[in-house]
Amino acid sequence: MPLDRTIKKALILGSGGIRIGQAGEFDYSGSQVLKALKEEGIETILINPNIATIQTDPQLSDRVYLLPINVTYVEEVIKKERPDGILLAFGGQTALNVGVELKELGILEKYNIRVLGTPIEAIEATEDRDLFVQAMNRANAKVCRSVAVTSYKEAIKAAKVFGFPLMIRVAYTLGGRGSGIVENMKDFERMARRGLAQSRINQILIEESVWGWKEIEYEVVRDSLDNCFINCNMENFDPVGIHTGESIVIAPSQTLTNEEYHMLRSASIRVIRSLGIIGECNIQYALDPFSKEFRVIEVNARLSRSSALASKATGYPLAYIAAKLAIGYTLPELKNKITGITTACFEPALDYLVLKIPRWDMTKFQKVDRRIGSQMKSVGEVMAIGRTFEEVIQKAIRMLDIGMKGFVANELEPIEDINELKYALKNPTDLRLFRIGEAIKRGISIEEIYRLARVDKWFLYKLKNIIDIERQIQDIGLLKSSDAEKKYWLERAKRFGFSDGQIAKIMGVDTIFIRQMRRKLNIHPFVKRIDTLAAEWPAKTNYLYLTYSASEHDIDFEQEYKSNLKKVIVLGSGTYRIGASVEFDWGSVNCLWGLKKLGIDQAIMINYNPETVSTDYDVSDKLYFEELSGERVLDICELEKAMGIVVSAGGQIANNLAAKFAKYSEFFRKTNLKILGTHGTRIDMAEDRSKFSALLDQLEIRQPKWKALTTKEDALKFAKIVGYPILVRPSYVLSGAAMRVSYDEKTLQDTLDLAASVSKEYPVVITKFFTNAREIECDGVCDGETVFIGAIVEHIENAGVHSGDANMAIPPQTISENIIKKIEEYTNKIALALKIQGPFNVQYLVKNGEAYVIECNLRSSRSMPYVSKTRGINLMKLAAEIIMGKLIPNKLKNLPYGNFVSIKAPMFSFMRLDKADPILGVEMASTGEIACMGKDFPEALIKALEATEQEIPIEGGNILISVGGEKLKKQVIPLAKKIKELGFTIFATEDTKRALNNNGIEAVRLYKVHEQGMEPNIMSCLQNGRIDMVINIPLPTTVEEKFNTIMEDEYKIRRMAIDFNIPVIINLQLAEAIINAIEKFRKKKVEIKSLNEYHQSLKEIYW
Amino acid sequence: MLYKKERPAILMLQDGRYFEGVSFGATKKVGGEIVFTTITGAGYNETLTDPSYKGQIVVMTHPLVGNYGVPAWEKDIYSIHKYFESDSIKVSGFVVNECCKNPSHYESSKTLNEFLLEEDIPGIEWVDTRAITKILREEGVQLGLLAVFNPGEIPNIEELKEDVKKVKDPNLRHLASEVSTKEIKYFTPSNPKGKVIVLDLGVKNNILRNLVKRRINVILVPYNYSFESIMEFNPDGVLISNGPGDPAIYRNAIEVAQKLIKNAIPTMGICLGNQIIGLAAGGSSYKLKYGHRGGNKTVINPNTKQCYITSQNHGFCIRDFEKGGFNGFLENIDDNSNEGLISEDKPIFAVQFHPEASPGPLDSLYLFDKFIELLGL
Repeated sequence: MPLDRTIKKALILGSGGIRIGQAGEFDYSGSQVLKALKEEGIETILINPNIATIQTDPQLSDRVYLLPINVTYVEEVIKKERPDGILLAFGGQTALNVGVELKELGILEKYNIRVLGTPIEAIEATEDRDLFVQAMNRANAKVCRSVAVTSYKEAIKAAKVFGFPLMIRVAYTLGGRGSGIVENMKDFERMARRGLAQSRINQILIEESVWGWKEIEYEVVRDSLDNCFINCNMENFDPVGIHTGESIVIAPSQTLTNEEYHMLRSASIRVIRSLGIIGECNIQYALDPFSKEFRVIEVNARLSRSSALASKATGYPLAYIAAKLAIGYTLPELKNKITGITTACFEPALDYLVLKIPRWDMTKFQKVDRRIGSQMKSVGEVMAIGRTFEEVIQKAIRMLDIGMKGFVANELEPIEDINELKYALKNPTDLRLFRIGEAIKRGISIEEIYRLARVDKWFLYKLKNIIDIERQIQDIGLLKSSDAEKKYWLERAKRFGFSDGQIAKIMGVDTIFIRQMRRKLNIHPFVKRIDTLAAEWPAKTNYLYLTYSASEHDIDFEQEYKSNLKKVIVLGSGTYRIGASVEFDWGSVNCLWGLKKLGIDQAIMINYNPETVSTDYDVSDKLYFEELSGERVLDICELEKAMGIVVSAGGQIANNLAAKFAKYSEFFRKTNLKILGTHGTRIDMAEDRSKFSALLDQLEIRQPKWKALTTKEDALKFAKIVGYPILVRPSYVLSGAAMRVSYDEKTLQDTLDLAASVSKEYPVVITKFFTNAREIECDGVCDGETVFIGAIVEHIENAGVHSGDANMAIPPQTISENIIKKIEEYTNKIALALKIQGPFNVQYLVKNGEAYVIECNLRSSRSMPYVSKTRGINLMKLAAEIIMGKLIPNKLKNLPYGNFVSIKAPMFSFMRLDKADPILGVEMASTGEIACMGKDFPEALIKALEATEQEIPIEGGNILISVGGEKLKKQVIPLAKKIKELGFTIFATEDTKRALNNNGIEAVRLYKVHEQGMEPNIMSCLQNGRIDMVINIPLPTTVEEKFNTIMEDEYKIRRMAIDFNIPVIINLQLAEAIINAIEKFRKKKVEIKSLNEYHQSLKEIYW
Repeated sequence: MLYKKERPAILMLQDGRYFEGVSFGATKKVGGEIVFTTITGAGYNETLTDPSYKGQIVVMTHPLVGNYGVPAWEKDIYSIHKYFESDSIKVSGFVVNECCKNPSHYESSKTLNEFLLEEDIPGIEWVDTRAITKILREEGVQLGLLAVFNPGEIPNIEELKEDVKKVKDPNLRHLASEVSTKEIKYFTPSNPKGKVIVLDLGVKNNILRNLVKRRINVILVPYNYSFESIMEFNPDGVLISNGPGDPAIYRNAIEVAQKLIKNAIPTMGICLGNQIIGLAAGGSSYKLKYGHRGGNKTVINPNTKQCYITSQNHGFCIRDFEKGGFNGFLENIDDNSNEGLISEDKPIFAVQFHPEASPGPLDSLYLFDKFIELLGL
């Protein structure tokens, strides 16, 4: 069947803000579906408030609505747009859930909208356990015995039948939220009760446990003619019991025999047919390592993190093809985009390996449990491509950007006690891989490691091989050996993924020395192409990786040199982590597009993050799916002989490389490596706190008092003079890693120790920390002569909350014209003094009518897409033009803001992080962001908060107020009065209640968490859904206070509210803003306007 | 440079281009036709023992081979080898990126290296298998040499260049006779419902397993068995098996097929069997540039647009059989070459791919059921 011509207009639901379990992979799938529909002439409408994505760029869809993805808003958009069809498979669990609700409420029927692709019934069958079991029975595919229960009483009954260990799963959640294996009654009660509360349909599953089996995944595609194929199969390094999002995953599977591979493959086809999916699905299996028994664990009837990985792993554009199938095409009608001649209906053959490792950021959260298990906690992932297992795993470890040189030669404190080490093998944390390495080194047998960790011995032997090579390099005395011997060992080390730096460390020499030795011996990597069919057909695309298991390049570089191509290399963002997410991919992609528009022959991308649009091979002219290390970037530069590289688009990793290159400038001159845009030494001047502070002094721009840290004593003395609180900040970091505010001498001492360990190469600076100050950011570009300020952005919270965690507004709402002028002036001065040629971001504090500079970044920033889309001016496109030598066009000067307010709000993932305290500070904790626009500040704020999936009680309800300290209690009085006036019922704990009563404000007393048994208790009120919002303003913490019960109680309130999905406001300014907004918002109708419509009010659009 | 006990190995093409690597398996020199297969890393034991690879040096495009080791030579209750497609390794030489030294699987009894040593077959690893594949893709399959030397021995390239010129095309040999059973073999299920004669041109065990599993009494006869001797068994049907080499030289098999068609005996052909039936119907065979070998090949029914992912291993193809009363009911979706024949009026059909898979996808097992329907059982 060809294209269904009755579909004229289609609605696509996005996935909202990035959170754990739902990240950038949905920008990839959403962008592909928009492309697939647009090229068929179908009008596309997108709802997604994630402003930092590529898919919400104004040119990708016909209209994009930056609105909350919930039934209310989606219905409003449907009412306005009247689409013919809706696509639910491309926006993660969020889109799927909303789709199911739309159907249940009869909205789809009411507006006569067809679900395109996989029908709702199939989605329901994958989400509802009973339906699922029926479908699997039809498919003759075994599932774990399980019972769905809706009450704790039923749960207990089921547990008694199955016995421990058993698995608890929560219905309708993403990333396995709330799921886990329990081994005793105590854990069972806790998890079962919480799971019941978290589930959208109050349902949990009690299930037989297959812990320790192999976990295998299949990505399956099916069309309306029932044609099916397997796009990719993947094997988890980690056994069943560890969520696939937490597992190291390799594609294709490595330890399965033909019989096992095809037993599961055939089952996959039976399953997808039984469910009736049209498009793509992911099926997870548990396979007994000692028999042919298997179980279907789950099916995701939509594009998923795994399918994004499979897409990147095979080069097969799954989301694009799934979209084509949804609008009527069948598989044989579609072409394999890679070869252009062969069919899209085939199974990719890989002549390389692909390995993914999750990226955790556990140390960013207070109190979080570092163990990994059936709940997803990782915030990003990396993917490495190569031709040996050792090569891919060592590459991937370096890509994590956690300071590891590979599998060996790292500086990680080992676990001394052997029993503790064995415990760690059985109870893995984010450091699991390295603990296995320690165990091998300590001589624990492979057999025993397997018994404890349940990682297949095949993987363990491969890891042991890396350790063996390390030892051999150490023992051989390489420096003294013959050239032939050197060549043998270096070749071997490189084939098994050792980096120059890693070898250098093992041998105790400089990295450059190894590189030079290697080059002398003619050992270098080769470029290979990913073509979906193992070289059987000639490929057209330039999807590339480097390997040492080869003897020729797939690219004819000599031919390219002769054609004198204009080439520019753009460094991507690397793995997502707290503080560097999809916004830096937005920068990378827009930079590539900007370069292409300027007539560059080859815009070349280097990146290794499979959850991105920049790693779609058709976004750039060449995609190197590779490490962003000095070594690898240099390898590529030497081969490509490009005009230069752009380091300012991808964020901090790329930016840091610039400084590294500056350090080895002599070496790089020879290779003709040129950094385009702002000069490397200028980047260093901005990044190095000490140099930057000196520059500000020279420009007579105010900054908080600062001092470069030399000795601990000096630092303590300085603190005494300027007074606490004090902020300690290392250089060259993003998102405030190891940045801490100290309120007294004791905490300052601890912080100084930490900072020294984080940043060895660069100096640490301590500054006076301002309380009660406003925080302002300024994003812009400079061409060396003219400065263009994209927007002045004001934070809603006072300074002290990390800029990535703050809510912010364009245009600024409370600061004076005068201050704005001053900020513009300072920004101009700084940009010109640094001779910036490209993007930048400056951050200010405003206090007592004065602006103070806190930092300046000469790269794209987190807020750049937000500023660009709000102003209708693509700052990255401008930056690309400047980087290539163009000047800022005159027409962009002095443009007014639009007649709307745009608010960016952080998206948190505390719900996913067991025990993590949702308290905010100078270290960033949010995982994503969204932005919404409105006629005025209240409207934009409420929309924005709703878009972060918090239910704001606009029409009234119960608010729990709990504030720490007398001062804060006083400050909260006017707010509480307002809350009362708006008709809310206030609940409060003893002290807060007394303070409120003293000011004539009524409040219902709740007993504290530790006053168990006394009712009404906070615990039971939160559990029973009697509280609609929590305002909890904690005191700034100090070490001593952490241990007392008050702090513990406060923490429990916040944590429980998170667990029960109740909004918690922990900042006074934000609480005030919300209450004010509720008052104004109640009286009016919400504006349903697309970004494109908002842009109509702007004088100039530059995109 | 090689280390300690590592043995140098050279894979040389007929024009003298060569790849240096490290050996595994036997220390010897073999000639053959170099072909590549894109089967996944799961499937090397089946590939090695597939009789259709007789005379060929096989390049695996998948980079890691031998990961789950090699199981023991066990037989099932019908005395068919449980884990292998025949009773020995059939490839002449094996070319991989990496041969696994420490396999892991509960069914494994030895390493791939040990398997090749036992069977006296040479292997080479650490060569750029993608580069070799690209040569074969661009220039077509070609003859070559795989030479393994003793540790410390320095290969004499000039000598090898002379040797490689002398490598003879295995397709000129009667390869089927080399792999076919020498005597009649019986595979009898309990409670059989029918009898099928399998004409063994190099049959894969999974064809036998699939028939026996469907309660068919299987009688395996040598390649040179005549139609008349076959009919003496009074079978319900005949299956012409897969096998190596050029179909056009298998005169007896073609003659058997002609008589099967003439007498409307229910018949199924697989791979070489498809070509034999096609030739018997008056068609002609031709050699593909680099063959179809792998587990990811799509065939399409041009009428229904139904697609099947199939396992394939053939260097030759068939065309112009329509005049003999046959239709091509399946074709290769990428190059439109024939993938299956069906008689217009007789209970005879054949497929160019391997419905028995092993290695590869099991999507076409239903064809065995179709065959049994044709037998009228």
